[in-house]
Amino acid sequence: MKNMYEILINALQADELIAQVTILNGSNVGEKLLLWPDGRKYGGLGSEKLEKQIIEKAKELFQRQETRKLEFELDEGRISIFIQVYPPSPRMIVVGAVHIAVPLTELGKTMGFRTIVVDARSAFATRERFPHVDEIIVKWPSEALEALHPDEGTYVAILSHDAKFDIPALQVPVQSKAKYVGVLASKHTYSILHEALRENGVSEALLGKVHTPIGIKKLGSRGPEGIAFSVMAEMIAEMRGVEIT
Amino acid sequence: MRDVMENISNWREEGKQIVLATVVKAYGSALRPIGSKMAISSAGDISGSVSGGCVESAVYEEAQSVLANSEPRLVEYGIADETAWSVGLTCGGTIEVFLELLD
Repeated sequence: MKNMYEILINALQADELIAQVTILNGSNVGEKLLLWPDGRKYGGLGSEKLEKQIIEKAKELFQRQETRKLEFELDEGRISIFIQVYPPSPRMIVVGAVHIAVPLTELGKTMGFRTIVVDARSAFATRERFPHVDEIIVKWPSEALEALHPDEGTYVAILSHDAKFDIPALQVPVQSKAKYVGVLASKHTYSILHEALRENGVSEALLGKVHTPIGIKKLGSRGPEGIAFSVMAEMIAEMRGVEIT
Repeated sequence: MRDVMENISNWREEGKQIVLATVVKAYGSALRPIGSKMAISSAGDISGSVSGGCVESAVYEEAQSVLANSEPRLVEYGIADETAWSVGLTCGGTIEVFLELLD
């Protein structure tokens, strides 16, 4: 039989949504159960009745991706249960294996993001330059982004600084559910991208959510590392729903 | 868990026993959210944290008893708690930590 800890770790590495239930007191203290949103389970708590109640409760917690300690009334008394929901890591997709991409993905890693670098130029998108990232994709950015299916947990920074890459690259996440889309560009350069996307039929409402110039300017940080820091801060603000004016 | 799992894997390969401490409840201005982990090995290695730094040494001590008798335990650290004062819970919060030996 496979060890429960190893099953949990494998699920976390595969970025599955999973919950671990632990009994915190009473005669079955330390007993554990792993639960998946599709109804799969592993392990047991020593009580069929208790498991049923917990599986019901876990459905809500999965929905809200929330971890909680709960009290349950059993025949033998009150017991405390800890249900830890492990949401999949947020994803940071950086388009353009430029200098800023190096510190940005390092910061992303530190902040618990799964980090992905996309660039069509194999000379830049190398393991040597990005030893810390989870994935390097050498492909035309728009194709790579389409295959990555940006969702509510995805944060995209477009840094290639080259209209022939940026126009098609921006078009994908801006029309996706991505939580954050930022573009490194001056006001003038961005106006060209903006115009090109509008001509391609992307609505103003969608374009309105693009963060550009990228990063929190107010921080006043400079240089590739400083800009990376301000982009990271902007992503976290977006994640937490904090308005930065 | 993600922040401690690499260290835990290494320690397991080295044949060390491991105690996992988890924040299961946090009130007030606790610095680490519930679910945060700290791992302690039988060789004295530490990974992760359960607070901003104020109760880690107390948790480390508690882990020694778990290593000795293999029994899980639920411990509360807070401003009203003598132990917590003695280790300096400066954040003003209260946390409950569950410690258990990893299988």
